[in-house]
Amino acid sequence: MRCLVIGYGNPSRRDDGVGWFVIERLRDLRVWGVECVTAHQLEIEFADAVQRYDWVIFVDAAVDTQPGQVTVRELAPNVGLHAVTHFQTPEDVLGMCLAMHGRAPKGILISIGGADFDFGEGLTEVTQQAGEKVALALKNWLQYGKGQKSLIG
Amino acid sequence: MKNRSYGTININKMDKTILVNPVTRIEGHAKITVHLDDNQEVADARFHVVEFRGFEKFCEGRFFVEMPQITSRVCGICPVSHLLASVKACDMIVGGQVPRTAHMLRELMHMGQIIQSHALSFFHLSAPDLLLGYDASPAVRNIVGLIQEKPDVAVKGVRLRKIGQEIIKIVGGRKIHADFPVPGGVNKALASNERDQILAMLPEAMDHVKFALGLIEEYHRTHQEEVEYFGKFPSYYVGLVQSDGALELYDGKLRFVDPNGAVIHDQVPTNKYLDYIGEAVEPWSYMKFPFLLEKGYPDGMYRVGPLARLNLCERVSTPQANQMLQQWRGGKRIQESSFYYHWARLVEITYAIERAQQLLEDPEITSTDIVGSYTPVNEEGIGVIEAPRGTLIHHYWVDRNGRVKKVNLIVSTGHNNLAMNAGIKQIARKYVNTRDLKEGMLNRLEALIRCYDPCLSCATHAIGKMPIVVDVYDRAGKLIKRLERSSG
Repeated sequence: MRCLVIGYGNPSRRDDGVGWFVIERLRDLRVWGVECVTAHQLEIEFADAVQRYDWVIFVDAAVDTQPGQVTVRELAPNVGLHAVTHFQTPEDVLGMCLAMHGRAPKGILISIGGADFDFGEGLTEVTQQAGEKVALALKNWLQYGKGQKSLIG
Repeated sequence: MKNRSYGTININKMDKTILVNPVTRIEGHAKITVHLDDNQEVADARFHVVEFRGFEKFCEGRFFVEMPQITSRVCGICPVSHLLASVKACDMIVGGQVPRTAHMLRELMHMGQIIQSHALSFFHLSAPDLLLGYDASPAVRNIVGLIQEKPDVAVKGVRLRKIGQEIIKIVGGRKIHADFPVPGGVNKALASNERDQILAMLPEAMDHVKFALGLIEEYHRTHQEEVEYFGKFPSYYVGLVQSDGALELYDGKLRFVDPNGAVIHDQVPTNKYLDYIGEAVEPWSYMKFPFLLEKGYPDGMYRVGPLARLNLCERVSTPQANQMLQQWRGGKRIQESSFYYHWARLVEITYAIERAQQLLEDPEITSTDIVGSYTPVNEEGIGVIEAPRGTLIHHYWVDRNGRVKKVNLIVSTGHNNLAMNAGIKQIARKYVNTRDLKEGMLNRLEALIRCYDPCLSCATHAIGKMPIVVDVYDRAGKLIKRLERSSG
């Protein structure tokens, strides 16, 4: 079971960098059997890169939920794609992968509510705590439950 | 989920004006206006850039070493070009020699930028027109439509661009806004395993660009009339060349060529650019209109970028790209049609791949002698580079403490402003039927602009979210039609 975790956002906009924080924690926790990458945004190249994996987990900050609130949802490849080349949604990435390669990995989006998106580095306490919980939950799921039990709930 | 629309056509037959808005698949927002005469024929057409950021102004007062990081934020597509032009201007301010290895590493990073930017332009932005057709619905005539219709082509485009980005990332530490070049050198040496990693990617990159060359050559064979007509007009050409007149993208001196290909000025030091280039302004666009001073405005219209570079150089210093240059020229001294920009980009990608290999095979590429002096000694610095879209000039004036007093940026898209206006006028006259306006007309106007791969964020130093409008006006200046799109 090949798994990729993509933490994306802008770490120079404080809580928007929580995806990067989760990746950093996964590396600290020495989670094995998974590849981790960070990105400022999802570019079209990911649509090609993810085809080598069975699972792709996207970790991003959310502006439309309570600070520290974590939501997890399964993703369906977007087949009604749009033409913006600067960034893609996770569903776009999976949809383009499906179109290019005839298959797409299973996808999960983990959104973590942020409190402060101003210029600057470092997370607010509430967002960092949520990021820490996500990293631990991901470790457990990646090492013990991957593909066998749901990450959701 | 955002609402997305792909444009509307509203006709008011009492008036005589067309507006196309937005122009899509370009970097930035713009609009095109078409002006009609009393007989409903096209009298004029204008390419307007409608946003403004003012980097030149707000950089005043900053310390000069901050300029590479500030000005690279002008653009998310070509930050490497701004970074390198800026740091070259700073090199002049610190007055020291850049170590040879640092020079090579910067050039290597630039080759990555050429590969990724030209791949983006060809595969992501222009290939949908070429492979899906100008009259295909704008809802599918884009990279996503290309992925769905021709996934094999799309995969090659995605991978070629990725290789360019990986080169930038490996050399500079990150793909976008790397802080790698510094005044007097660079701050990171290249490890031998990193060198080997890049070398291993280059054969695949060459395969993809040759595939793309096959596509464009086939298009030229099967659309000869369109290709030879599309945005064809005489102009001057400006760009950097090596000391023997060969194509140069990172350094070199300026060459000016007339519409027939005759060299009118050669080996002009880049710090003399103000003796040759002036900038006009028009009330209807935030983008300035550079022109050749000796020819006046607007007669001094010139072009920069891939088409200009291949028109003005004597040869290409790498073997495969030089062979492709001869094919591109087809026995002519000058290719005037703007359509040749697409093919020229592929020749330049080939050069970038071959040049990257040469740099990586130099034993000094992994040296750690990578940075020189940091003290400001001159009160003026000028950095010039051939960015993917053309000649990019950064010019800073600083006080004796290194505080920036004044900034002048002339970017690639700005140089081409007069030429893009000339091009859309020609295309409007050919394709605009004011009695029966159709989407295909808009597509061709956009496609002309897209030949130049303009980056309007760079050109106005403006925020990069702008699509385009085409307006048609009657002789009295009354709007009679608007074609409009949102970027989604």
